[in-house]
Amino acid sequence: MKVSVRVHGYLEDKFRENAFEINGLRQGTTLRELVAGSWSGYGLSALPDQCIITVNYRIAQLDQTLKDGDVLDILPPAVGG
Amino acid sequence: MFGYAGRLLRVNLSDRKIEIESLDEGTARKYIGGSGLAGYFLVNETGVETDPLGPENLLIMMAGPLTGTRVPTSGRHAIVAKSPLTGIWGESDVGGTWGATLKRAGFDGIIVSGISDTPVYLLIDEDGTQILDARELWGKDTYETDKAIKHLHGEKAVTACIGQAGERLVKFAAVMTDGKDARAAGRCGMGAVMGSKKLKAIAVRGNSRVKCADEEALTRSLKEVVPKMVQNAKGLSTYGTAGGLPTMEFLGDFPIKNWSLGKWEEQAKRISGQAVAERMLTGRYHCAACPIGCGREVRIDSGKYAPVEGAGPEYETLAMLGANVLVDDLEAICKANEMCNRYGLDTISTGGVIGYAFEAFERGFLTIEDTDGLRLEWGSADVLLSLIDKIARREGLGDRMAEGTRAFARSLGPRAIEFAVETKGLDFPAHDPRAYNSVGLAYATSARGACHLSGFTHNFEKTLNMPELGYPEVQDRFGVEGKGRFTALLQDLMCMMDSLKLCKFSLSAGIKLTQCVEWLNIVTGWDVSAEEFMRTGERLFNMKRMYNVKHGTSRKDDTLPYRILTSRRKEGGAATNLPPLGELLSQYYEHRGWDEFGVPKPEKLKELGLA
Ligand code: SF4
Repeated sequence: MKVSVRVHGYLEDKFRENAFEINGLRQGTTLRELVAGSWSGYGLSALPDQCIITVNYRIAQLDQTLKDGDVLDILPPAVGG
Repeated sequence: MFGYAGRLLRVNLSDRKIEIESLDEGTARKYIGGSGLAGYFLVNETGVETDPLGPENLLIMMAGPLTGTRVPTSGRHAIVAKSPLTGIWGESDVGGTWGATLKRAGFDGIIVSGISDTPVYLLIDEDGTQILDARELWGKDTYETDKAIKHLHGEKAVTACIGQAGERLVKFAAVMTDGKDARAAGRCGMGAVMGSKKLKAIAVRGNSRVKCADEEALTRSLKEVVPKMVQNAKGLSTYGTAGGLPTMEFLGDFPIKNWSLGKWEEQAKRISGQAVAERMLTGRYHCAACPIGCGREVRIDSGKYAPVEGAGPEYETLAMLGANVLVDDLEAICKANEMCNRYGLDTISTGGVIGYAFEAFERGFLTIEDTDGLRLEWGSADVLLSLIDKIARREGLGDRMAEGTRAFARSLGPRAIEFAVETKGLDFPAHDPRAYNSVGLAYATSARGACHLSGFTHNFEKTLNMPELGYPEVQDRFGVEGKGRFTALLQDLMCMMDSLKLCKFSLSAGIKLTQCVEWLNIVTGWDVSAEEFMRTGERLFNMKRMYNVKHGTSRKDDTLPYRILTSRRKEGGAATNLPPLGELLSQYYEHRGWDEFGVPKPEKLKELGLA
């Protein structure tokens, strides 16, 4: 299973690239598992607590199960104004 | 009384009478402070017949029980008056160091009435209060006024003042504090109320300690909580409120071209907090007792828009004076921000009315004859700066725009109202209800008109949770079920934060309801339960509602602009959603115990001690 990841705003500094793909995920992988560090090579384990992740433009819950072809966007925390 | 100075200052500028009155504990516990306690006086002493710019209107500046203590992010105060922009409840919340200094000077708040026959300013310290001649200050901008007052009364004098916009009664004039480290009480035209009283500034000096009931418990709490807050709010400290600007754009929560477009990705990057940090940031500043420090200090020494020095633009400013008018030149926005700060203009309403004027020009409602020869073309930074100048000075077209978007739109004819983006006369801040259903409901029902801070709900549909209110998870932003209760409870909580005073960004740093209650009790020595805390918030929200109901507000006013209710943007992070306002309102009224027209029922008022 494969997902694509895009990184936005100042979080770009934390990653080697601002758009990349993650291949070879097992079926049923949750977002929490992805972020928990098994994919730390991609920098995901370095995420600040409060950043926002969307899956296919919907704000995601960490328990959400990922599907093949999902598009993940990782966004800086946004509290402003 | 712990936490409170226990004294309020009353100044009548018509007869130059100064009085000190004491604050009793019963009233303090029922209305807390900030906008709650200020509201108690506004509700009792002004009414339908009060002219917002007349001598009977009150200008109330009120700190809270936490202001001036070591509680993190408590360095805030509220300014409350009947709004000249909307004709109803007006309130504006502001940070900086003024509120904390007022407490240290021995006052919880100031209530100003009357109108002086010549310009004056107030000097308040522990030795007393003086009404001083401000004729030399009249005509100066807010940075100059702050400097002049510091020159006269010492560097420790902290000012809240108006610029030329307030003097000329621009309906969305701001009251600015802390000089170049500017903080704005921007919303609802509090600067015009101050200007109408011929009150140029209020300078405060103070050294007394605000007494806390249990200093040791506070020290223990701070040791535990502050490091976590600092960690959670790292992005906010490093990049300011604009660090999240690309996120807002991505989620479709961003005003682009007078709220008509859904995407502006590359341009958003150019005006983000990261771009500010890379190109012009020289430092950051903190409100009193704040470990986060989201204030930006910028400097531009060369180029077309130099010099700029002092407060940098916040998220709201970058969005409203940038994306909303399609200006993506960061230096130009910094200049526009500085002009607004110096003139004392609300950057949100300024960007709102200018975006509206650009569209009116494009659609032919304004011609080149109306605009004094200016071509109001999207993206023109020079026109943006010219219009700010004209509004503040009330010159030509600027005089009409200075009345606010609603009045300006009405002056252009009934069809021109279609694209005016305001609720109850207050321009939208830079969050789009099409990106969060709860924001639509919160804008429609907020006492002061379109306001993202009265509910702060979008953050709980994006990244925050509040288990104590039954929301352990982030809520679905496009969901409908249960949003009436959700929005109402968060509005009640925000009423309390606006009264304690605590900065709402502390929520983003991990602070929860339980912590707010604990700090209130540690500081005051009270035994307030979470239930009493929320019930008090509900009382304050209903008190504000009743003020508006007396002014004729009902369901017909709890609405959103046509564009927001009917126009899908077709692109971006909220391409197709429209807030289902009718359904949301019905849920909301039912939860609140209001009737079908949005009027609190007598039994609800009785239950809250407001009957
Ligand atoms: S987070 Fe920012 S606005 Fe809030 S109190 Fe701190 S410095 Fe002031």
